[in-house]
Amino acid sequence: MLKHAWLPIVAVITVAGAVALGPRGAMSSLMPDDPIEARILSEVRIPRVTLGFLAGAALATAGMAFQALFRNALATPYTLGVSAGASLGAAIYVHLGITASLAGIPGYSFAALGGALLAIALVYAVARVTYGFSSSTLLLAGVAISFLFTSVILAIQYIGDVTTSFRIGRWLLGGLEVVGFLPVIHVLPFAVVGIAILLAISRDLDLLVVGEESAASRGVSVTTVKKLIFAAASLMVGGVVATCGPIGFVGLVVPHIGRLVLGPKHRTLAPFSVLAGGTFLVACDAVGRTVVAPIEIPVGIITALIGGPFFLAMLVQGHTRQRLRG
Amino acid sequence: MRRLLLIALVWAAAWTPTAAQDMPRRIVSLAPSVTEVLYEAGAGSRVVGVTSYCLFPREVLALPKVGGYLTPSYEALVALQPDLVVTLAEHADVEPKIRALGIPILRLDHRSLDGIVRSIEQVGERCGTAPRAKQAADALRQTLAGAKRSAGGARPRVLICFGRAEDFRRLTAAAPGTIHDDLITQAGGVNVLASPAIAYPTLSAEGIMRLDPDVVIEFSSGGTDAAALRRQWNRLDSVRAVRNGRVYVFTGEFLSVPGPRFARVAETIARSIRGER
Repeated sequence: MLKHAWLPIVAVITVAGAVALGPRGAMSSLMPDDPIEARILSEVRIPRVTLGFLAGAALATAGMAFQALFRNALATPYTLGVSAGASLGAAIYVHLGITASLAGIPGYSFAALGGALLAIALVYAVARVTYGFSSSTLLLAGVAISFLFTSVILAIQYIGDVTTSFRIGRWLLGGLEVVGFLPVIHVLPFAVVGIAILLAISRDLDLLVVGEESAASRGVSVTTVKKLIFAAASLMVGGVVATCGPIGFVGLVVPHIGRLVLGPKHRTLAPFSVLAGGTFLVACDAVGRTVVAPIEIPVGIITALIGGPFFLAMLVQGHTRQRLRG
Repeated sequence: MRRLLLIALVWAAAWTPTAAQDMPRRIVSLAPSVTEVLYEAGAGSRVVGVTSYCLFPREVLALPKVGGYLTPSYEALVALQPDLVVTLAEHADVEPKIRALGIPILRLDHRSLDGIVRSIEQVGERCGTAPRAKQAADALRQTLAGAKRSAGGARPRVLICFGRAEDFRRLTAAAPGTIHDDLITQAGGVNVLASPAIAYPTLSAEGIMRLDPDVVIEFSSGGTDAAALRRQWNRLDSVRAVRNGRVYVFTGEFLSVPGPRFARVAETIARSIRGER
């Protein structure tokens, strides 16, 4: 494990860099004398970087778990319709023109969480009626519900006026720009509980990847583990999406990079996903925030722009390495 | 009596500075139409930040930017130390974050011509330039009323549209209830679309032929060739408006900014609807 000590170091440097990097160059220090810089740091910057790390860690870990659960390299945190559900909740909320908040939580976060829970419940209900909580049924139900919900969102955007369309469009871009620590506190329990559960069952994930029969033969209660993964990962993603909107690519790419670098064992892959997912999203957000400051590029665009080519390069490299070995 | 006068004087002296303190001195605008209204209402000199989409009046180009219209940078906002941020209805999800920073908000409604006119007065009242704002608002009201008066009795059926491909695919029209419909009505026309169910529906060439409007008003963003756009309509020569040469194309970036300049277009559109070039 010690040979992977570079990862936490990179994580700490990235986070510190993201906190210190101001639109007009580096902030003088992490304890600035200038009261305005201090305010920016404490009320905007640190909450945002913290949220980014939590969201990235949660999405990458959930993506890793779903890829193992479905034995499918293309699975993402959103494959089961959680993001479409959350987005539909937010879209309906905007369309109805409600403005409300409860205990500092904006109404659309509640609506989005409700939508995510609805999607999770629907997928679960469909999968339950099939024998043994089948992974393929789960996957197909998730994809079908994603498509259904997405078309309803498009319909709402189409019939709505300019204001509605703009607000829904903005939501669909996702983003980490927050003010104050309240949104961080909303995401925290979802992320911590979800990540803890998935870390705890990382050994079972290895057995699931090999095959459900062999997992069962080694004494793993396959259906229980599958339900646990489904619940932990879905709820965690729902909690993140409700606050940050759908941020793509992190959950797909980070676990795969981990597999290429560290191999497929979840005992190391799971902590890697937590650390690298958080670091990656924080770094992408820092780029989106600074390149054309003060204009901000939504982080979802940056994750794909940086992650895509990087991932392709890793794939090619991994392939040549394998060929050399063979 | 003298004592009363003294009390009144002291009271006035104590009151005036507070009122002056309440008056915003550092205003940030979160939309191009808001920026326009701030200048129209006489508060322009106190605007310290605008969005990257704000291009009018020209002097705002030199002002610090706070980012995009729905994606302001909260860091840039804090750095500008505003004592008032002026928003629109679109900013419903942005406002709680501004409020969390302790910055007061004034929300304007630019979803109708009336809303634009009233917003000038709202800004005037909040920023202590009420007389000047009232004057500007009244002038705009008169322009709109003039457009309506000159319209006359016959009300042609008008299609108002924008954002289409050369071959008329993905043409977006404005239905009743939108600010564009407001413009038609103010200029003496009647919207050829009857249902307000979809605010900005997409029409096909076939749909336009069926609607058969008397007049077509097309808005296009800046930089496009109005004459070329008008010529493209000749393909739909079965449409009454095309046959009678009643297709009018308007270009200019301000057509997508629902501010005072947009409202004043009503005058030009009224002339088109009356059949004057």
